[in-house]
Amino acid sequence: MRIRIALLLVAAALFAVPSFAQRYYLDDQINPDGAWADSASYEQGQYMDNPCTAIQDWVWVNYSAYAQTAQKAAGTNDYLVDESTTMGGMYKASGSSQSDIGYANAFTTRYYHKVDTADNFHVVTVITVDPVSKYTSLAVETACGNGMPDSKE
Amino acid sequence: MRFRLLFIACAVVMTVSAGAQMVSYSKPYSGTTTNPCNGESVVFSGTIHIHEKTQIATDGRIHFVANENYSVSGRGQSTGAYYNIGGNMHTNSKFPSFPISFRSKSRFNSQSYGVPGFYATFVFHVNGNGIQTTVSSTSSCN
Repeated sequence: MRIRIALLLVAAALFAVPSFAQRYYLDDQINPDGAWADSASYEQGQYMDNPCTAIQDWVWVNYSAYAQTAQKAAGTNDYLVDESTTMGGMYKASGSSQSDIGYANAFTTRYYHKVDTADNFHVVTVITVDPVSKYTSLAVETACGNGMPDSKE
Repeated sequence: MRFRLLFIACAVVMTVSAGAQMVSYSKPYSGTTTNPCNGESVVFSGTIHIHEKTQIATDGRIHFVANENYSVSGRGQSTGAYYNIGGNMHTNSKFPSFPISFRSKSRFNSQSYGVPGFYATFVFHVNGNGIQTTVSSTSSCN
């Protein structure tokens, strides 16, 4: 019995992710007036852990993101989401992305940016758009994957 | 007893992992469009590589991850000019179960001197189950 338990524990350890990805800033509203085609900047220093490593290595980073949501034309459900992310400090990352999405309800879109480590550590800028309330919010997560269909989240 | 509990825990992990549906394939894409910069009809054909993963997020929304690559060439019916276009649509999005579309705009380059290129927007339509159903395209001069 003990051998079987030990084997199972070994098997579980093999499949385990070294540490869980983190979500650092919970839905901080960046565009409170809800005006479309407006823009906002967001900056915050924070301790961050690389989720690809087994050891928790909380280091200080300066994260900043610029996000813009724009309705493409009045009366349509077509939205452009534009973001630019920069991270400095012990971990560094930068990049920008754009999405063109047609949807009538609130949606969330995630942008992965590679961190300058040898592993697959990515910082994820998470933008939620609610066309009904014209509310755009931003959050930051980490991932040990690049956000492609065949990668880990 | 402990062995059963461990077995159940492992089974749950495997079930969550198996909840994702992933597809990867290429499909032909052809049709006729109009170059709005000179008005000529352009017959085109090519392929789109579809690579998608769909799963239900922990909050109950659809989590749709896609990386589509398209490569299409065409020929103008008036000038005889050859055109080609290539591009990518990538998204990692979560949304409630309603139809959604993702667009990617690229330039249809003209291979003939004096014949203007134009822009094409590829629209990837996804149904409420997070399954991509059709691809359509529109053209514009800029």
